Amino acid sequence: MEFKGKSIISMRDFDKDEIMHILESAEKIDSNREDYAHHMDGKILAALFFEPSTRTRLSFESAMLRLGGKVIGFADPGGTSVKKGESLADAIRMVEAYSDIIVMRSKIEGAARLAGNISSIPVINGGDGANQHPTQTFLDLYTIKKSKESLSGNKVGFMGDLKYGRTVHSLAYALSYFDTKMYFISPKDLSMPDDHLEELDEIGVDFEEVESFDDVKSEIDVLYVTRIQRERFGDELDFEKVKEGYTIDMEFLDGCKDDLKILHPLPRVDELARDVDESPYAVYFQQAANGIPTRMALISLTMGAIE
Amino acid sequence: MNPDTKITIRKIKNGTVIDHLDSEMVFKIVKILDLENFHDQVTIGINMMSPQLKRKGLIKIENRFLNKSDVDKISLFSPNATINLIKEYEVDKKYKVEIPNQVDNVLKCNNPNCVTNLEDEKTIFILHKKEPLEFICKYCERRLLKEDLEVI
Repeated sequence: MEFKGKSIISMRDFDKDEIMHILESAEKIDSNREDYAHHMDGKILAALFFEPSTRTRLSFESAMLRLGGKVIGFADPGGTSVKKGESLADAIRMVEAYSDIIVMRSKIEGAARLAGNISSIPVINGGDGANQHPTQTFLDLYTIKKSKESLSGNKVGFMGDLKYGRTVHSLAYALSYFDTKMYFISPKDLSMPDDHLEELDEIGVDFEEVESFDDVKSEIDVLYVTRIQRERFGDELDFEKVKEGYTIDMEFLDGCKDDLKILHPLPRVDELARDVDESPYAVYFQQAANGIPTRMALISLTMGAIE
Repeated sequence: MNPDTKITIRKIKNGTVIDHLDSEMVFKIVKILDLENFHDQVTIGINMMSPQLKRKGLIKIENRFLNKSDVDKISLFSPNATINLIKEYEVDKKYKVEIPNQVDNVLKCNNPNCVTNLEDEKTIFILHKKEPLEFICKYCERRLLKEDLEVI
């Protein structure tokens, strides 16, 4: 398995062994961070955020700094040459001369793949429109692995906006390697897109679509929650009605498994009540924290600092 | 083989005969191969009788030998077509078109937010399924269905 010089663009580029290797590398780094504090000494990460992001950008910056490296970049393309009409290809050729590794986020789908093809240094996709956000998926997988006995054999419920939820599509695809029974819990209008369901079906995943959490709550080992956004509904009343059935508080969780773990890619608004935060179910803040060792692993592997 | 077809093939001295086309796709393929602007002799047949297909289409192009990209384009719209390369009135080579596993810079991605539609970049599509025909864009990873196939 050779990660040195490789770009991290899409979950579709990884097989099960490669995913496991990345998660195990993150685990090693996580349990012994000081050993890795100088792995990126003298190296520069360019963070190109053509689209704004808080967690992804900060956690990449933090990961690079914790490895001893330095960070350059921008958090908003306003005032950059790209805003003046420079092609992405030209921008990447410039940036690769200034840095050793690139992290980029763009609203344009496929932009990271293109950057990876052009660049002679590794490119890590920090999100390309509705398409892929692989580092989020790696940290989601890492969180499940860490908070459950095993990454394999879990019953995982995905709840909320499954239609537009890129993190859901990507995690469901990745979990198909790990003998996972999946439940897709959403209002009809926000259900998993047909092409994603078809893909899971082709792979042979055992899944069910349900409209209510109550139908499956005693079964589920992991609940992955995403936010239902107001702007997806034309009518305010419709939104309020739907929201009610997908808002989680301690009462809602009555009857679920004792060792249920709840994940959420954040930011959350009111789909997860504050009283859940203190419960043993909540792992979403740990999940956000897991972005650091996961991204430290991805940077170290692609830079060849670890194998 | 239908004797009429033999006669039409014989009529061309050098060039390509595309046979066994789906009749309704003939004019699409004329357009894809840009034959409207071709300056040598082109003969087009539609709804011709053949033993294999009830009605078939046929295109004869004088003094043009199709390249891989041309043949790939034909396969996407008429997967049963055969290509006959003619030299000195004789069939020099004959083969069936085959849907390629990867199609480079032939198809347009139908996702308006795909990088290939927003930057000056070639498209790459990976064959996902032959029946019904389905490709996946190498960049935005969206599926491209048969009814959405559009040539650049």
